Amino acid sequence: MNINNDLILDINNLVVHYETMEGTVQAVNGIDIQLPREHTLGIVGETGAGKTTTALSILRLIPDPPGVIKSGEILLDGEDILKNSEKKMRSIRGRDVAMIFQDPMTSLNPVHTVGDQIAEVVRLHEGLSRSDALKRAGETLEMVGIPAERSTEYPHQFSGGMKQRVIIAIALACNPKLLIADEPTTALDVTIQAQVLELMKDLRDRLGMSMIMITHDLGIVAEVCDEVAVLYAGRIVESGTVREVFKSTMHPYTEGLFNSLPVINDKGARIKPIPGLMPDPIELPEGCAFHPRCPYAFDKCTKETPELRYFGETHGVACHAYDQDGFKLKRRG
Amino acid sequence: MSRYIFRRVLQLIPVILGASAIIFFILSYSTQDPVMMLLAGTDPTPEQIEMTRQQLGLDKPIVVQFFSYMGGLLRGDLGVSYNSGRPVFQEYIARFPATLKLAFWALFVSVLISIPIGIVSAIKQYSWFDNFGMTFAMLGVSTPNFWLGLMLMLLFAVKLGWLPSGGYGGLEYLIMPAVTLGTSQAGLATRMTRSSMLEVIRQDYIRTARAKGLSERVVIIKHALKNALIPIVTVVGFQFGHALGGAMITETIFSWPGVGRLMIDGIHKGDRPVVIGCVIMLCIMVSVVNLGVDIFYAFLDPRIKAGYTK
Repeated sequence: MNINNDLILDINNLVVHYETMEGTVQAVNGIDIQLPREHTLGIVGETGAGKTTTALSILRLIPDPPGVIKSGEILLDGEDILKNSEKKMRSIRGRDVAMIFQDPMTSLNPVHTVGDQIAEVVRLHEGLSRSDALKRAGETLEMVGIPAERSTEYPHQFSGGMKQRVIIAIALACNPKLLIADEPTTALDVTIQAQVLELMKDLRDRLGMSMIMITHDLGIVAEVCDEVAVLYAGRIVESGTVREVFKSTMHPYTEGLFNSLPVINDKGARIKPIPGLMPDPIELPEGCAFHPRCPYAFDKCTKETPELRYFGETHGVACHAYDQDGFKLKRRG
Repeated sequence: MSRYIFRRVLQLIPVILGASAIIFFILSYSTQDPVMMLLAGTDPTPEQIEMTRQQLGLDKPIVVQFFSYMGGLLRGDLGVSYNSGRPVFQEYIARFPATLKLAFWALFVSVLISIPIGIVSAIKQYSWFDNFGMTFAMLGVSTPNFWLGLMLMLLFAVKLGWLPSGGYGGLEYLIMPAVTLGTSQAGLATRMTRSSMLEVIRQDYIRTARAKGLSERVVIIKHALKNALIPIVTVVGFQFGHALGGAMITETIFSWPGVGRLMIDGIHKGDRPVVIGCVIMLCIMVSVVNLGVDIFYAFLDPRIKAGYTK
């Protein structure tokens, strides 16, 4: 990605490990992310690729112990949050950066009313009185399509989709600059997924937010994002605009992801899953972490870890195969 | 909600009747003869013995005795003490304030110790504080009350002379019995607080609360503790109910004139109506406190409240 002076988020060489009794889990191994203001970045990858760890790092909410941010910098609006005090971090969480979590069923506190749970964050960051904050909570609920009267109800009185709307309301209550959505629709029914996604897009555009959308659903990326980063074993293997990554896929893993999708207009075509499994993050293979599953792997891939190289201004790929002249993926077309 | 309470009170009746029946028959088959106990030291003639037996109604068959006692019970009559000749209920009520006082202060000591230690142990799991807290909890659970009571007495009454060794009166009389009873209750309550908090602080909504920017104190007290309280309240409530029924060992060691000692004295003297009366009151106390705990759940968790009103 190009260097832009107006970056809301600039992550450089982030390394996060979980140091457990069984060994060191290398969750994130040197990630760079540049997110221009009011853009939406999709982070794609399988379970365990380091998507959520990356997101939690931005809020500095990695469970510690065992999680440790080993190195790197996370510049939010030009300021390295890894140098902040815990107190300063608290003033950023919920106000500048808000997060939507994956499972709406368990992400709301069952013993407080939804109104209280929204008002709490407004009171904390904007110092409103209780009654003003509750009024604001009602307005925020209306914004996500829930009648304000329901603010006195408890989470168990809402359906899954409605709960996720409440969580979105909590996240947006203080107009954050950056919204991180961690698989916000994975736990929802397909029809509800579309509604929630539509709502998020609409609110993002209305409020002028920047957004990071973590997902394993390429359809959501195509629908919502401007840029996309594909994560594998804690590294970015391919990044670029959605058009670049979707139309001229370059990394064998990204190719594998697309080949795993069913093709509707070709009923004869078989889904081609990527053979093998994600490597154990305690014992990552040497060289490129993807080489044991990669159909194009050769000698060098087992020895050296490929760096992200740029083809064009924004399209980065971390793959040794492009050392060979005239290399092209055989993507199903 | 009131329908729920009504239903629960109705459920109390078979519990009390069942418990009374069991204790009645157990005592009837005890080897002690209440008449001989009552007339002990007077060298009675056989006529005197027979007369006392008739007076107490003990000459009738056991089944008749049982039904006449239960008949009285249904009218709220717990019978008359063989020993003092006063109604058992009056004796009980006279002793109850002392027991209530001890139970309350023991609860206070227990909660004051167990909740903070349990919370900090959970937050700092496997730290030195956690190890210390869990060692304390184990000691609290496994130390017999009579031993702890005697040790406290040796130290503070005999050696240092700071506190009276027993009896009933102001705060100075209350400290040692309350600490003895309270620390033994705190052992279990501490473990319960810790395990319940450990489960809650791993929940997703705790992460949501942190992501809002709330301080750790607010996250723990407002978001975690309220969710963790249900098992804690259950244990503490059960212990409180038991203490209300009479802390027999603690009351005996410190000569505390509560219902626990009334019952122990009753057992020693073969005073069957007093013993049965005390057991029935114990049942009622435990049940009433449990009902109170169940109602308290509704204030802690709106989902439970919704279940009650159905």
